[in-house]
Amino acid sequence: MIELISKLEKLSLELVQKQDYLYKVEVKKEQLESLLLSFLNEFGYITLDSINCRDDLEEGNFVITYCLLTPKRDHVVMVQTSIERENASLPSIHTFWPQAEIMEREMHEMFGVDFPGHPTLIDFALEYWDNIPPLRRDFDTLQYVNDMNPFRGQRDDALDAKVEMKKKREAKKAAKLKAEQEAAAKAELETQNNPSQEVQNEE
Amino acid sequence: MMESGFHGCDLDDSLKCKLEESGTQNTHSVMEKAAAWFRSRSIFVVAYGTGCGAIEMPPTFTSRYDAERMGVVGVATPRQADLIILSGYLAYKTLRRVIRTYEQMQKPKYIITLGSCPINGGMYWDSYNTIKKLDDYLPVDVSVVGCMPRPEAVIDGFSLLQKRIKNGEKAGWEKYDENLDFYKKNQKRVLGNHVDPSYETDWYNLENGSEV
Amino acid sequence: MIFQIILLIMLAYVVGFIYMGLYRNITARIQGRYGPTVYQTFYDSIKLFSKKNSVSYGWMFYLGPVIMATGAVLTLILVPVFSDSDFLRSVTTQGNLFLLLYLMVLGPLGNALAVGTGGNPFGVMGVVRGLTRLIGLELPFYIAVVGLIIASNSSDIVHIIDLQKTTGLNILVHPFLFIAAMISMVGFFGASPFDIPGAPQEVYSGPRTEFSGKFLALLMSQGSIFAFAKLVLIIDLFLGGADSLWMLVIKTFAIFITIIFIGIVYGRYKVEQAVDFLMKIPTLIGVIGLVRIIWFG
Repeated sequence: MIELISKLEKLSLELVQKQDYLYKVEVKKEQLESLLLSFLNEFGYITLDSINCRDDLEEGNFVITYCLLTPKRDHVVMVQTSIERENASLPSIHTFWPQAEIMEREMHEMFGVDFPGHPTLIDFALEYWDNIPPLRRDFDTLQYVNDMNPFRGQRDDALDAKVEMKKKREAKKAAKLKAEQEAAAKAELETQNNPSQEVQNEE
Repeated sequence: MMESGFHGCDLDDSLKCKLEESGTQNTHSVMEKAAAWFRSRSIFVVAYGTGCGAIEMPPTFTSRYDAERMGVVGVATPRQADLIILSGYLAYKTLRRVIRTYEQMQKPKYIITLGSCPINGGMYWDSYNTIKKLDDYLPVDVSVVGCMPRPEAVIDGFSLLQKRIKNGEKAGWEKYDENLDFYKKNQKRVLGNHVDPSYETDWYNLENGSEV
Repeated sequence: MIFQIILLIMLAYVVGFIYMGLYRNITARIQGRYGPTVYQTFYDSIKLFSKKNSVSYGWMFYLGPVIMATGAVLTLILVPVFSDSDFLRSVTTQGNLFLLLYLMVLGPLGNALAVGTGGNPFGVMGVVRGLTRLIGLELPFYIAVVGLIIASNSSDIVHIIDLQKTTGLNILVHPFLFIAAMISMVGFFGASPFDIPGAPQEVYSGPRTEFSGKFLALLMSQGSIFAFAKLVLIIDLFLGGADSLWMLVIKTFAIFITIIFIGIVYGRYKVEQAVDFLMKIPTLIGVIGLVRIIWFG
């Protein structure tokens, strides 16, 4: 790890430790391709774990993170770069790691990031999508869903739940009130009857 | 068991969906009644495993619950099938394949859906890529509700379908034929102009029954 | 005679379908299920006949199932069903074993023509697998039949049946030939381990993928008629034929249940494995039987 830090310092880059197994290095877009190549060939990070994208709508850029692993799998290095949202494009790295081809294809579909030189930049999971790429934050998912797939209307014999609950509550309240009144009346009756009973007993 | 409703019809006033009440007798002669009885006793199923409900079908058809004793048998191709089981949510991409599969089946044909997702979207109600009401796009005969329905409920759905076939009630495929414009318009609304490979009669690019 | 032929076809239809129903029922019981009723195949067949067809690929597609059914019915009426009666005897004396062996291949050829017109890739795959398997299946069966022809000095089935009354049943006299013929008969029935042409997990329904409704019903009917004809052929050649209806049912059922049990117990061979096995073990057994006949009488 110390070797790696010194090697990165030569390139005037800083390796930041995020957790005890997780390191991060931020680069500019121009440096990215050469840095990834040297990670692969010189530093021995032979595995590309994933390519992630974050949409910073407020800052107006995408933050792209490449997660790299050594053969021992003892720690992860995240190579991070940020690009502008408008006409976003990145160099394709499918020649370094073949699995990058499908990751870039997915990112192109979900965020609209362009990869010049990518061989198969076609549909991945969606088909014939002609809207804003769906995982961009300026794509209003709820609005789109409500436009395309309205909710099922209620049945003809369906009842309004709120009104029904209110009715039920009122009926309950009325029943309770009635029961209380009855109990009170009964108690009153008993107090009226009791003296007469005593009188009867005496007789 | 839920009666499949057609309440999406008010979406579009230009194409009023003319639907009859279920329970109407559709078989008249003795031959038709006999054919309906045999149809109810022998149902070939193509089990289209969309979504999570696919896991309920192996126990339904194998030793534990054994749907074959009711005459419900799985077949491999839609050409031979009478019934298609759609077991869960349908993405637009899946819907294209399902419509294609349904139209490859030979009449009479029926649809059973499992779970709440084909009825109202279920937990995928706010997905940008999933339909909410399947009965806008295809005629559903029986919807088995639950998330997920147990194999007992699936078998209950089979027996309800068998009862309806036996009674000669109007089935989904007849509604589909009668209201083809309604269904095709709804399909076109979500799927756009892309349904490939193209059909001989291009229902997609027909407007009011005449070619554009 | 026409009446007798129609009666025979109806008998084969009923018995064949009940056997197919039994096949499904017994399979279900062995797998620990309740299983369908014995008449389930009737229901399937009648339902399929009542379906509407909206698929057409030209006249060859219609003709394919008809050719298959022709092969099955011709095989049925050329095999003597009862040994000591005059039932259809004027027809069965017209044919011999060579003609029967030819007619048994007519079905797969008609199937191949129809499937080729349909153009379904899975159907074509199934047909290729089926025809490849047929090479392996035919060899031991032909060896067994040729051995019987040499032993009884005749290719007439009636003569072979009559000869068994004096020399004893062929299953006891020529057991090797019987084993070779039985193994290839398991394949002719489409039972495991030789059921690769229609393996649902690989090629959907194989040759039947594109056939729907009435075509499928015709294929199922001809399949059950053909199955009955093949069972009758086996009992004629090796079990001395049947002199009454009861004997016929008992003997064919004995052969049929053997095939069911073999089919349920074993897994599925690949095409190469099936041909490899059939070219080695049953062929070797058949050749041993043949050598035994030629050298030791």
